[in-house]
Amino acid sequence: MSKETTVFVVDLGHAMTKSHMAVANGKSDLEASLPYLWDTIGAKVASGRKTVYMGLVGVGTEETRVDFGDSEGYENISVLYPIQQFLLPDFRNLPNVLVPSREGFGGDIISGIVVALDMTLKFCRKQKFVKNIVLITNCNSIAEFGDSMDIIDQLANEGVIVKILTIGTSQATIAMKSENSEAEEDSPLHFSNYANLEAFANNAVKRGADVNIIPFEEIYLQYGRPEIRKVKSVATYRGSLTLGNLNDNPENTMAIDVERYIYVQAAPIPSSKSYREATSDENKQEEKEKPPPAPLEWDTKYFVTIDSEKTEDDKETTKKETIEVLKGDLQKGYKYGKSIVPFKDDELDSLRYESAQGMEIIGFISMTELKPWTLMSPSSFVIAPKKSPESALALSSLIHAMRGAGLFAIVRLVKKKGDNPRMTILIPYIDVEGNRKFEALVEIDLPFAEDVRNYKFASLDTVKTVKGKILKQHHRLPTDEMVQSMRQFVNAMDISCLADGLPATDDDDGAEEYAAPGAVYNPIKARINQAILRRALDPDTPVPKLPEILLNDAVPPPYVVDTASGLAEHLVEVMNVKKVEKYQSTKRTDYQEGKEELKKKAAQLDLDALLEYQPTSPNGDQPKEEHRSKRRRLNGEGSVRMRFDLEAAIKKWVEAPESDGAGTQERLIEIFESTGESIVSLLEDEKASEQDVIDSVRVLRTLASDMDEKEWYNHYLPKLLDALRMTSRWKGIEQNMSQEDLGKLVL
Amino acid sequence: MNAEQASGDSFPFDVDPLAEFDYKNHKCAILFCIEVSPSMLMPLSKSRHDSDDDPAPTPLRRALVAAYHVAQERIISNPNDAIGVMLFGTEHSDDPLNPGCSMLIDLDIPDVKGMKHLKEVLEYEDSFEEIAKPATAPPTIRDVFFYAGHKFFSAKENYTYRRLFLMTNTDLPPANSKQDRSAARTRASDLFETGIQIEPFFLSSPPDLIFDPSKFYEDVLFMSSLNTSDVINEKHMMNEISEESMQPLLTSDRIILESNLKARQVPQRATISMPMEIVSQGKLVIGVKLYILYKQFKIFSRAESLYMCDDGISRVVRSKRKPVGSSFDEDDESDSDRAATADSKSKEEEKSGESAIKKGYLFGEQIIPFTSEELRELRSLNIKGIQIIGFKPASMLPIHMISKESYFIYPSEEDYIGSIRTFAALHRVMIEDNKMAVAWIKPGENASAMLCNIVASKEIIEKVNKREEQIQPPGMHVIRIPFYDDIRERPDNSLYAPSGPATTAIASQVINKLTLKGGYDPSRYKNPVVQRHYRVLQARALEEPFGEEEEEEMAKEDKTVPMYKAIDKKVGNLTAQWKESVRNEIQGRVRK
Repeated sequence: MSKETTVFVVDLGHAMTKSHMAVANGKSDLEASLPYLWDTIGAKVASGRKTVYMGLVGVGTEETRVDFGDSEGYENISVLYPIQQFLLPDFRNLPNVLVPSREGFGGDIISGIVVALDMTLKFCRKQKFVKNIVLITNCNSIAEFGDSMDIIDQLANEGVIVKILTIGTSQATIAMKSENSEAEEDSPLHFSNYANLEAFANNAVKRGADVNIIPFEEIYLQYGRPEIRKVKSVATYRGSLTLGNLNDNPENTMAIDVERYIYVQAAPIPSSKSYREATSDENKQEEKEKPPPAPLEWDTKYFVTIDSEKTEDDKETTKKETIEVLKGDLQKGYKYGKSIVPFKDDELDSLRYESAQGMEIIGFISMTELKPWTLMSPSSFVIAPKKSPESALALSSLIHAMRGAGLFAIVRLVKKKGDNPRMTILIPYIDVEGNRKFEALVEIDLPFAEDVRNYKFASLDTVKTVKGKILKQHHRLPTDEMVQSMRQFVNAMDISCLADGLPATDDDDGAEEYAAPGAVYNPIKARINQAILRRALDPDTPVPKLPEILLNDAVPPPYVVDTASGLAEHLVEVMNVKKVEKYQSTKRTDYQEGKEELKKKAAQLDLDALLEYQPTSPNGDQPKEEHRSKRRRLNGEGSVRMRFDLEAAIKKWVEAPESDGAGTQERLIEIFESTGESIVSLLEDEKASEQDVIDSVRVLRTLASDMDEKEWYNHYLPKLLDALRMTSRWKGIEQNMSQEDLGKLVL
Repeated sequence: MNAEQASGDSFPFDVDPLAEFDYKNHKCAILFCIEVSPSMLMPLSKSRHDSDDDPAPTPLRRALVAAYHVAQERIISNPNDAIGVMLFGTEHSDDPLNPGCSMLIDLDIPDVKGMKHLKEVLEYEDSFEEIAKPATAPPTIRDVFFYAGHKFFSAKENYTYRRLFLMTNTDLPPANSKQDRSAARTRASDLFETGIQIEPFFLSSPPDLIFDPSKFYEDVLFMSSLNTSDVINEKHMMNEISEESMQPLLTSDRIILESNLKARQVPQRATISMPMEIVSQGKLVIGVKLYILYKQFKIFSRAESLYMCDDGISRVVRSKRKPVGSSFDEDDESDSDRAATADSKSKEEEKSGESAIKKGYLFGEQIIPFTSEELRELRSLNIKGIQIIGFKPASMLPIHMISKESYFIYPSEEDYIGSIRTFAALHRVMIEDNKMAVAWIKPGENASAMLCNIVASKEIIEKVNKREEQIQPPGMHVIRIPFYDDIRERPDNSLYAPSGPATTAIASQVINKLTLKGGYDPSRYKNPVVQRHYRVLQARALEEPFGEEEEEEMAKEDKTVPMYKAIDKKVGNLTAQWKESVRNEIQGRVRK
């Protein structure tokens, strides 16, 4: 990666303590510009790159600290940091350095640039560097432009990139000022300085220097938007794209020299690292001067467990021994089923697949037959090498032919000799609208047979009974009304083309695709990066909120939602989706019916009768006792009593006059569950006989059946069976239970 | 897993949690229950897929060969799955309490010994006859189910999916009274209740033997899972015994049996359930399950580190990764010499040592500390499951900007009643109106949220090997939309030189002659690296030869190599013309 230097020239004159930006809501110019510096400098520090250097120059400082301090015109300019690699402590110290001066100290902005340029040139000497100078000013300092042509020529010759960020110079701010007489006093100087800077930039551009003047407001409004350094791709394949057999039959083979570059690949999100916190003793000693922690170093050790299972004495089967082994003594191997097949180093070659480099076309498929979900990642560009017009032309003919015929190519790609082959697809890509016209084939991985899982899923259009009857109407199938309502909603929620959040057509000004691919910043990545920066600067800051600018495309556009709200409400109503409560979840009767039935039954419930069995009644200790007493009751003849009790409850429940049944369903479930648990605990009772268990289970089953809550029982049965299998005592009971017809209830 | 990769210095959510879950958490056990009876030993005429050297085929042999192939394939595709082969109706019994049932291979992850045994049975007539002696009094189906169930319960591992492949050609077992049926049904029902799914493979060999499921098995199997009036729903997708699977299979062609087996051996493995919000602010939310249908198969991740111990046996090495200075003894069982008190003390120390390890993000070379709550908060976007933000024409799907494999979603009534009909309505509208949804998805608790397009896929059913098969499931695919951060700078392609019409026209002729009908079908292209790897591994494991002959055979099977001869025949001349045209055009440009 190339080396780069950036010198920041910051106006620290007293005027920076005042507010000149309409959008800053009264924040002083320096306050408003510091976050920009934190983000820009912080990102460079965070990268940890040793080839990234920075320097800092203050203009309008109270002191004067420059190498040529005695020469006139450089008063009140300070080199705050010479060019160096910034480390965390330097970064953390910035807020102490970037402080505005008291009134009465003025520096020359252009002199600031000269100092920065001098620093840069001295530092870089003749080495190759990307050289940047960034100036931030509110144009209230003096600007002496006497020898600006010399400076410009030097900037141009050395290829220094200069960015001048001017605070308080946007149209909006100027408009505000003309209304606000208070701010008018510093206007004459301000405007003439700005005009001078603009002229300086224009002259520089004319003479071939890279100088930009940008109103700082633009940057201010973009705060929170991450600054992303675009990764430049390196070629991942250099070779030919062939159709036919180049070795055996070169005459009749299409062979085009190409290069392949990654185009889209999910950028990694920063991952956390471990560190060891200094123990408390050390902590006290150097409370203040504690250095920031460094990542933990790791140690890997290898162990093998020897299972001496095959000793002659069968009783000692579990003798295990774990020994540590050295990395150098390890061998590779693969599992074949449960068995291990070791391979010595030289034998590993026999597993290797021999392959020759190549990008070979197997055939073409119609673009309409491509299933986009089969595409794997990443996407790459396949282009002709830079200096080969013949390849460019040959490739172009293929691109245009494919585009014209609507065909994509299926290709076998081996990136380098010996690499594993991949199946990939080539899609023609032509961009003639951008600044630079561009043609390529986009290449994306396709799955092999082994990469695909052919799961089967039930049809969404019909419902089939087990006996093969096909139903077109069922509560699992949408009615015409539902589909119609969904269609209206989907149409209303179209976000393919919006202008300022309102539906638009392609021809409208500013019409854009909402949440367009490649246009949205990864909010998580940006937020993590920002949090790191903020905390690096001040270890006590809380995690910052996600900036709104990152959430622009995260929610449906409000206007669209508003317009569609009527349709949405209708959709919600017809679909009638309900969140499932426990125990109703797998009910397969029609939901509406079931719900109504439940309501009816709940209404009939006699609360008083049920409270006798209430394991969780509201008054303190009682429930526990009640619970215990029930368990006791279940011993021996208990099942008979349980049956009476429960049957009585059911009877009361069915026959009782109407009552307010809120929450009764839940209580019933509780009773049912605790009764089930009692049976399970009965299994541990020595006195309990098989018949007791069977009788109790039958009571429960009958109860569930009578209440038409069969699912309750079916839900309970596996638990019971599991419990039965836990002990040897109940081995036969399972079979008897099936004979007694205590299996699952048919719904 | 490779010892090197076994543990990384990363917070749990730095790995793709979905993929991890998918890899580790779904173990499947398949128990073949194959009948041995005189009719299963009836010779069949050879089909075109049998070679002349093969012994005379019988239904039993076909079933065993199929089981062998399934085991071989699963060793590759699902190395954690268990396979067992049980024979019923045999003279030999493993357990006097269960006469007529014997295990040919125990239900476990197959090992070399078991595979060799199965192979031997298939290769040597003597060994085959040894195991294939029918009992005079075959066990009842109830007992068969009982013994099979016992095998599942006594298996060492807890398998997520337990499946019983019943292979028989006796449509009316001798014990078929009302009581027998009821007992078998109850037993089957119990298996079903405990999550064991019965997959019947009824073998028909016309004209002598035509299997009629209605005689006995419809009674026994249908009732076990479902009421006959009931509908097949998503809960039963994994447990159903469908009308189709009850269809008898012809044993005359081994391919039919094997492809049928193949089609039915994969149960769906949902990775995670999540809510899907269709109307914003939680006004319309349904439940969906997420599946991974496409994932690159990587061999290297299956390499093991081994150590050759003194007894000459190579054993798998576990690696432990700890911060420098930490004790490695923490969970070392062998260290029993140490006094208990000292042990507990050191553990305490260890604990306090561990707690001093904190997390943070790297800033330059230093770490900026964050608490684990903060780390979690930074990753959350307040997105739960899937949240649709709008719709676009499906044609706007950026197929050239793929940055991740897709996920598949299918509705589930488990958490929201009405999910299926709502999903179905959306599905229908998206297909009929060519729409796609734009949404945020957070595929799992610890995963990062991402922007995605949701595309509907239509159900496609085709006849494959005389059997209707779903070749494309109905549902929706979630395709990640790249962020700005994910797009690389375009390469410096300074040459923009569109070809002239003449050259393009020839290129068009060439490519039009080389179209592959039906698009790209992944099942046609097996990964030659994976295939070869496992062929060599199998050869080593089972002591089979692997030399030039086998190498050539593999090369022949490799469909990823272009068909040079066919290409040359179809477009060889045109290609020569095209090259000529490119040369002419370039020369023309130079002259200009």
